Amino acid sequence: MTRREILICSGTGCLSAGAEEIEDKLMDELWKHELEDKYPVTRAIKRTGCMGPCNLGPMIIIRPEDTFYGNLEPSDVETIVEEHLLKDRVVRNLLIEDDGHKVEEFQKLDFIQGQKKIVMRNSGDIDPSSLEDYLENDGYMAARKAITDMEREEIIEEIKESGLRGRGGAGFPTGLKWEFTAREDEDEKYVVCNGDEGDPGAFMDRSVLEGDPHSIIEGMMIAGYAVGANKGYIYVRAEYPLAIRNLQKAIRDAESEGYLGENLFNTQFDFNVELRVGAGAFVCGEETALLSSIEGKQGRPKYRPPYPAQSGLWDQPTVINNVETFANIPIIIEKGSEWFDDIGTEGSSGTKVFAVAGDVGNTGLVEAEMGTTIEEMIDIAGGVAGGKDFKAVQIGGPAGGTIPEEHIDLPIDYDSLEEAGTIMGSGGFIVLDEDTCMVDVAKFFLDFTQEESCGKCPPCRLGTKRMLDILDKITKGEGESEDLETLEELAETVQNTSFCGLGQASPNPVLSTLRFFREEYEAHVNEKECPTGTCKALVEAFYIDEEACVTCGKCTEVCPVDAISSGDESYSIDPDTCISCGECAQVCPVEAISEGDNE
Amino acid sequence: MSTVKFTVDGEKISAEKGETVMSACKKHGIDIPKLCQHDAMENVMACRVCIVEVNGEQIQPACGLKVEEDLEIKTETDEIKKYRRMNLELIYRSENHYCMFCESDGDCELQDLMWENGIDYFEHPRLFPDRPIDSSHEHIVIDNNRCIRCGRCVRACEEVVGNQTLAFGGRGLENEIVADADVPLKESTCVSCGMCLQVCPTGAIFNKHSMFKGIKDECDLTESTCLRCSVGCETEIYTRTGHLVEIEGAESEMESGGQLCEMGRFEPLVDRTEKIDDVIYKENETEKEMSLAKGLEKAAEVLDEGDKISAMASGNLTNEVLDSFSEAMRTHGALFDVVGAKRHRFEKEVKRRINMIEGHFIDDITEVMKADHILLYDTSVRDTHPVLASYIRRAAMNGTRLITIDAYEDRFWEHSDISISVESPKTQLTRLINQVVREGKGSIEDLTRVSSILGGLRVHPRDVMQVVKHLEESTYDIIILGSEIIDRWSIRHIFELAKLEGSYLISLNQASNQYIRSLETEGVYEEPDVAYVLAGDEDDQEDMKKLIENADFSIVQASKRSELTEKADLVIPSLTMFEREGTSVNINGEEKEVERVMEPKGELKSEREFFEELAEKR
Ligand SMILES: Cc1cc2nc3c(=O)[nH]c(=O)nc-3n(C[C@H](O)[C@H](O)[C@H](O)COP(=O)(O)O)c2cc1C
Ligand code: SF4
Ligand code: SF4
Ligand code: SF4
Ligand code: FES
Repeated sequence: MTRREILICSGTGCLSAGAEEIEDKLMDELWKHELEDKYPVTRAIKRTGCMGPCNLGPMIIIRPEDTFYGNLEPSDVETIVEEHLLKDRVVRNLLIEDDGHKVEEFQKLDFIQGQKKIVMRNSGDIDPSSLEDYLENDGYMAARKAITDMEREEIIEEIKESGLRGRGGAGFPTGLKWEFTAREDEDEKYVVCNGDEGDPGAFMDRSVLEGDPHSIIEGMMIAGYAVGANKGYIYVRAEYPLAIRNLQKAIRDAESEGYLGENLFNTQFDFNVELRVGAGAFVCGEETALLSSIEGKQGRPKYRPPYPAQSGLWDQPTVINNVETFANIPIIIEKGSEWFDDIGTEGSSGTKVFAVAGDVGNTGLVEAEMGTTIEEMIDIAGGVAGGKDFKAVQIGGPAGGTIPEEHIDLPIDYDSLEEAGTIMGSGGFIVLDEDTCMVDVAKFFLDFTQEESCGKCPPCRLGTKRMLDILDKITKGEGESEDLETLEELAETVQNTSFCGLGQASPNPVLSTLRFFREEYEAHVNEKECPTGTCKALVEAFYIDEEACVTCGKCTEVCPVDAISSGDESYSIDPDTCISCGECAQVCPVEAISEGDNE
Repeated sequence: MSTVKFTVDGEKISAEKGETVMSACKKHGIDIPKLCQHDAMENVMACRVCIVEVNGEQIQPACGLKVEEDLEIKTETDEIKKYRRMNLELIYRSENHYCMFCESDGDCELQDLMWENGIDYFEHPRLFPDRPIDSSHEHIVIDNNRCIRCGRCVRACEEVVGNQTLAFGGRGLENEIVADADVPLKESTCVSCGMCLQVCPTGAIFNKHSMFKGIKDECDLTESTCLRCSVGCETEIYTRTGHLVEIEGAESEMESGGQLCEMGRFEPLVDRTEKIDDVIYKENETEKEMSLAKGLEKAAEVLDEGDKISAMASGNLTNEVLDSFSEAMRTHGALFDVVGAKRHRFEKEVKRRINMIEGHFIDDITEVMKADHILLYDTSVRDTHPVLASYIRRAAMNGTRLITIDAYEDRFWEHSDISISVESPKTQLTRLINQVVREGKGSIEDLTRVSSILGGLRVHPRDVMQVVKHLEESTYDIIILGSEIIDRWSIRHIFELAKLEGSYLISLNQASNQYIRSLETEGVYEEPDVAYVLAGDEDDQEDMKKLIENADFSIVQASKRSELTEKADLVIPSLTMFEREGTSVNINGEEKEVERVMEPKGELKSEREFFEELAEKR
């Protein structure tokens, strides 16, 4: 019998899908079949970080065959143990289908094949709670190389050459940022990792922190050495308990094994890392607000200049980078800047991790080479779900914008996205199908930023509220002809006069949908019509065909506003009460309910 | 300081490097509209009203932007005006700004900007906020429905008053001003200085006693000096038809940031005690009113008959009144004293005995904010000299080590690095500190010896050693002696300590007018035939009360009825602090003008003339 290793994805998505139950069941089965010697828990069963295709959870990979089983039920585990482990036979009916054919190996999944894993190189592969595992995968080799073999300037030069740009949103060249801090003549400097990740639906940083915490520590350590800082802070939001747990363990292990502390790698260099848990306000992700928060003050943005590189944490020079940015560092040091620069496009090297969501076959984390087109991305994610037509993709989260079908071949890199009126942002990628109302999409994101505004400056605190009120009016069919113009004027004011990036970027979703889908707005305002039927207030009331009704009464049970009354021959809907939600039509067994006027 | 040249709306301007565009413009008479910026506080760039165009491309707040060589600033482009208008309108329409119902109507920076920017029609609907109004405090109302979130109050509370009571709570639209952990202001750590309402640009924080009494523009303004303690804050006093409307701190006096305390800002407004207008003579249990001239005669007559005469004046009077009173009393053969002067006499004696020079005394109390260590002996300064107390808190907040010693409750415990409470006799503690300093570190280490000296005092020897250690480490330390210290030994120990350590001293006493330091005073007969007490506005002074009780016949000259006048045999009116004019000396030794705020209402027009006449009636 082959020596096997079973990897169980224990990322947050899989845990909530029931990964722990699968693991328990697996242990039970191994015990039942007296396999405990062949499959020693500590070596053969491995909990990994996020594997990526989150909607296939819970999932396991059996090695060395690389067999992938997803969407597991506890009852499936018995079959896998009896068939695969004992009889060396792949359980075909538990395999995942791509385009109608069963895929055996994880690496052969369409979802995985199109990706390029640099940041996520270890996530889903190693046990994030094991320093040993990290070391076996060349962990801390880059730090050793940097600290023992390289000059500080050499490291900074290497990062500059690599073309790495910050992955936290703005895309500022990382090497340059480090150089600014390195140049400051101060004894106390800091390295801060921004793990606040507040965009709705984003979980790229979370997955890295959960799945490969040591790589972040290593990246920070290299930064610390390069700029002359001996202390690092990792700021993680309180909503990420698993990331916090894994990081705590990683820091403790690194400390006790001498990868953090004094005289690292027998040099004069000391480096320590402390974890800070944030209270979770979105604006705390903004660098100056985050630093205030670490200082124990209210997490409100501060005026720049001075930039943190010159005067940051406790007014000392501070490098602040995103989680994903730090995750790229060790591998750049290890493989060299040239290798990294070759990946991706001219102005955007490397990869970017996206949280793919919306109307696609496979949602989850996709790490793609810069320059991958939108179309390719959608293919990786299994195409538009349900055979629907593609309408647009929203990239960059609440600070980003929407790109329509006609730009589906747009390469995803910093400059192309900016030209198209959006930003890379932290990696939101929401695919929208033909049934999506773009006014509604804009409203969703604006609602988020409006809620998250810290309230310091009027354009953001009040301007976004005013814009949201107008959008709300429009989706309710109360739009007036001058509303679109007012909306644009407000957007311009908010964009140009807000204090921080949150406010400045908050009109982007509205502006970009106005740019590409203006006629949809106009339909709402002028014709009082929602072309996709999403805005319920604009849809006509439903009615019941008296002939067809079988008086089963199912519709009355689902109507949220009690608009349906019973009768002898047929049920009927009060058009004044009906909010056109369409729930009743969905449950009617004889399709007697339809939208529109009875006449 | 190097200068740079840049352009504002086409005009070349030079400014100091490091300065903001707003401040440079202001010096050249260019006023950029603003709401959150305030000279006494850090700039936070919150309101976005001061936006200007930079080099034809960027938009930046003028209050944050630093001047640079060749910057091209435009303050009034169409775009800037459009944005400014939009933000102002949003601010105005989102909160409850119905000016005619507002206390600040006519005194409002927001309202002014609305007019200046021609916003007399609106494009955006109102939001109708409905937040609770906090009127729990005796003097201050916070109405978050009118708050524009400029944060001036929050910064004033922290940066000027050193108090951190006010803060922003909630975010976004829910963002509002809260006290401590969102408790009613009355129950908070508020020290009732009213700095927040002075800097609030709108009607969101206002003074209960001044509301709807008049717009500042329509009031008479008198600039004067507060005589409630020796800090002597500069005041701006608003009156209307002879009535007090509001008292504010002078914001031009920048170190204090325009601060006042509860005594200076609010107490005069709430004072409802009955004024004394006529002379009252009590004989056989009956009160007889008489004219001022008759009263003067009566007083002269009593003084003539007396053998042992004690005269005592309040320390809150002007130099001129103190001079003429002491002169009159001397001609009548009285012994003369001023409240607070006793402490000064002790100090003089100590200084002579230990041969101490004046150089130890600081001539600018804002220096406490520059010290690296402060030793505060007697923490009553929080109540007696609140503005000085704010400097101490600010120093502590900015890293100055604070050591506090008090016989009772330590009123600075939150800010203190080492807090020692001793029960009397406190002298042993000062002696101990003194001794340890003198005998060097050796005696510090001898714990048992320290303990035995401390004996009955409930003080941990470690604390004492810490104090000494701090004093020895420091390069600039200031010792502040509270006004409640009146035993000579404590004064001597502390002065000696200052001499040994090269520390600077601030010595406080009960008088607000430090002119008493140059006046001849000698203390009084404790049981005189006649006591003449010039109380002024004083109503509850212990030494005065004692003197009246022990005298056969007592004359009290006061502006209002009090326990003192109740017990007196002859009551003569004096002017109130707002009717008096003259000069006064503050703790820094500077002579300050005290202006007449209101015309004297009674027969008495000048105390000096009264005393000159009294002197002549010998
Ligand atoms: C409102 C707002 C929220 C932000 N949130 C995050 C965040 O969650 N994570 C992050 O890394 N950067 C965030 N940023 C960007 C940071 O300010 C900063 O640019 C980034 O941490 C720099 O790291 P990088 O250079 O590696 O991208 C946010 C910015 C704004 C304006
Ligand atoms: S733009 Fe203004 S209100 Fe909005 S989050 Fe930034 S500072 Fe706060
Ligand atoms: S605060 Fe100013 S603008 Fe607002 S109601 Fe009062 S006077 Fe009017
Ligand atoms: S209460 Fe007044 S000073 Fe304080 S933030 Fe509001 S408007 Fe500004
Ligand atoms: S005065 Fe400059 S932003 Fe408020």
